[in-house]
Amino acid sequence: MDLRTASAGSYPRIGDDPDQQALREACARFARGELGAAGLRAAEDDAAARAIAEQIEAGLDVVTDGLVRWYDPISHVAQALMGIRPGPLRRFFDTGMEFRQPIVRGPIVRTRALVTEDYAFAAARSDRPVKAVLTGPLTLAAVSVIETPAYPGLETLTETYAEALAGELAALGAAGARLVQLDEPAALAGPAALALLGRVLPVIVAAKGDVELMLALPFGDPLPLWPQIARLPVDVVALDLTGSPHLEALPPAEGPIPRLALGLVDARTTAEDDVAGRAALAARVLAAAPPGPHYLTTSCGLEMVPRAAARRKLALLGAIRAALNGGALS
Amino acid sequence: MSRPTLAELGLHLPPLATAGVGGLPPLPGTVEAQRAHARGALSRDELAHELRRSAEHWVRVQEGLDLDILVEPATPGEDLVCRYADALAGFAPGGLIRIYGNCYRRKPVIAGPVTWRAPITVGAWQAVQALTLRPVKATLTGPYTLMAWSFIEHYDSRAAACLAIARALRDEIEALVAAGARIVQLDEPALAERIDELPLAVEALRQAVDGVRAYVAVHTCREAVADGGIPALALPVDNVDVALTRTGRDPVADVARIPPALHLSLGVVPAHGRDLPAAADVAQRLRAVTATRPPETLWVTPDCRLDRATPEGAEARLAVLVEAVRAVRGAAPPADAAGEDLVDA
Repeated sequence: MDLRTASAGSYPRIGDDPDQQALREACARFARGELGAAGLRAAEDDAAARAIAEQIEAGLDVVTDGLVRWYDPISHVAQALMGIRPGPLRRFFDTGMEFRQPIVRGPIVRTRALVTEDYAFAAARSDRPVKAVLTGPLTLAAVSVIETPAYPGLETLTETYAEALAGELAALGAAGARLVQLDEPAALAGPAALALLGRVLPVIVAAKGDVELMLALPFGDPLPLWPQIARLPVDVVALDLTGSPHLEALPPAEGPIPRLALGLVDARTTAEDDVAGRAALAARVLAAAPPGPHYLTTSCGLEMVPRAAARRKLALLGAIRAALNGGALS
Repeated sequence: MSRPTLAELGLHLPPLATAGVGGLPPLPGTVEAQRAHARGALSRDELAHELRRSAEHWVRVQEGLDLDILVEPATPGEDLVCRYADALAGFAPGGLIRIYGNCYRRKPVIAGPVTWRAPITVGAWQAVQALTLRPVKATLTGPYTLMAWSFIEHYDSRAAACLAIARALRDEIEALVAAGARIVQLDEPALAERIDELPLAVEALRQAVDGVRAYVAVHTCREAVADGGIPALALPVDNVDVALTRTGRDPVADVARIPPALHLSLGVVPAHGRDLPAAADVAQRLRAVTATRPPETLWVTPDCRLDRATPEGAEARLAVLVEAVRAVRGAAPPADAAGEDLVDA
């Protein structure tokens, strides 16, 4: 079976060693006015290059730029759009991370690239395929505050975000991206949320061309919603299998299902993962999957663990694949 | 077990009692002193002297503003979790985790059985209380947050880790009460992170404070308690915070969701951000809420700790708070802040 190990998105921007503090120090100097925008950009470039190098060293087939330029999981995309201003800090689901709440003050317009330049930088520094990551339209809308009559509610706001993201997806495709991930933790809120996402996704899908579209559903148990998830019009769906404590295998779904990215390694703890157990779970889930390629990944991005743990976690993906390909688990 | 009333604890607070949340910003000199001590250029005694100076400064500022309940200054670099993880048995140092932007936190590892070894906060609280006749609120991080913001490697479940921490914190709270603390606040900013774990958080609070002879508050840090269905679970404390500063929220509706038996700390002034609200606007928001509950059951506070503000900014926010409360109480400013009689001798 064609199994590819892939980054789930973020990677720790700094580490615990003194020589791993450069980006933190640069951001602090920038905030104090001691460093210009070009200097900060250089520090971000260096951090991205290091994140890519460490993912390659860990043996990943598909890497990201670690999202090292992102202020938080929401703002990097939302604040690049016209019509939005930064609001107060809010908690990002149950992660312990925080984000600036987008305040929608007027019509939302994509006037510049959101992540395409980040992608181009990473692609130029990696001999492996690079995945671009975008926050999804439902999650952006769900965490926003509307202070304009332009959007009467969640549905229209989600549609508008989807239109903006469709433009970015087209730009990414033109820049050479072949795999783009939409992060949609808000979709696991329930059937209504997933139904809304299902209604707006065609806007994005229509713009993707030959880009492979991966929908990531981190921070929750996808099992209860699997029949609905399986019908979404995406190429790949990334599932957080560490959030499914009782998962034996995915239940049957009507019709063809997307290919899978299995979040097998827990990216939210430093505890050791059970490689054999995770590989056995993957084997059971993949038994009902369509032809590949499929992806093996962490449960979510790795910025919630220290850098040393992140490297250790990534290396486990190769070990799980080796166990799967060894055939001892079938 | 029934909880002692404020009067039974010898505390006679006015309606709409004013207070900080905790952790007032360290003075620039204190930050410098801490750095000098870290590089060996300042002795422990000299650092202690500077910390006393900071405490005295903030006590006088709070008395001068006529706050009813005082809080301690934060020590430079104070961390809501590591302060306890460093002192309790069972924790090991952890690595740096990003919270947002350029803000990082060291996330400790629960690597063994968690137990209390010795007082953690008692000495600092005593030092501040000794400077004033007004009650000083003792603040410490709650068990659920200490669990949620640590990596768990020793225990099989989050519940087991959380309840072990609760038992350890209970020893600390009892030490505070034995030292004279009558108001204890548990900071639980992680409380609203996982709705499915609210019963665990409530049970941990119960194990930490049930039967303790103190007035117990819980601070959830900006997130309205009403968001998470916490009221229905009957928090085993006396006082819970509600932020009235949140965009797009109806403060009266938020307050209405909380059982009337619980006293409220109304977070009326934003602790973060550049904007300083006008006292008249704050008073207007306060009036809307005071019409719905007895003012004797309401405290008025910032919506979070002020330790990320400058000392001047923190003082300005507390001043707005006090001015707004005076307007709502309809009382003129006191001619003299001295001669407090808020605490029974």
